[in-house]
Amino acid sequence: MSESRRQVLEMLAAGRITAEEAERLIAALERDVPEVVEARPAVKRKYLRVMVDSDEPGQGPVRVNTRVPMQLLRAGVKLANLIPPQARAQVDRALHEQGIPFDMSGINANNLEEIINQLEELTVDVDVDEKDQKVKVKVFCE
Amino acid sequence: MIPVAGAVRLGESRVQGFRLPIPFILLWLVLAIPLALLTPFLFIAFLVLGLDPFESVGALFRVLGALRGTQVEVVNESLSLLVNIF
Repeated sequence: MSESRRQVLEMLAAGRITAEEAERLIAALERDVPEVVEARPAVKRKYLRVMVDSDEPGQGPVRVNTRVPMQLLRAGVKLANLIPPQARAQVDRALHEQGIPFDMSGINANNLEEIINQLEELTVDVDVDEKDQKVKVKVFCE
Repeated sequence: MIPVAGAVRLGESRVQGFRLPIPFILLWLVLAIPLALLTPFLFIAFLVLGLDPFESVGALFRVLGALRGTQVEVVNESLSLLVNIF
């Protein structure tokens, strides 16, 4: 029994309010009780799926379906963190030369979990349908 | 735990090809002896490169362990390839 309901009943027992007033108060209290929403446990996604369906002239239809454990991303980033700073700078430079502005030092143990949590919400759907090329790319976590 | 087995299926796309199981555990057992012999040299090499050998080996094992569950499937008009790591 809630504290508010007990107080109403005590007031009724003490004769300070009538039975009708007590009934109204209890009804009002019941209306004010917020709905209890069952908290669903967060679904932990285990795999990153990349699915590609392409149909290009000369190549015919090609289907690629990969499933990569999220744990591998964690382990890979931790392994990459062991790369000496000089080598890391070289990798960054090579990536920049290829037009990929990526800074390896930007990923560390502190923001790794945040990145993976964001990835879990990620869904990418690319659908290219041109006269001589049809490509469907789907990236999601499961 | 590092993967102990895998499977590869290679065949024509429209025909159910045969599945070749790969017992990685045998590979690890075969590699265990040369790796044990190489350990002192690897240890020195890691130190020369300025890496913590224990941390590096641990990270490597984490990557190997995380490979479990990996699946790659490529299918084109004529061939299909499926690689599974358990």
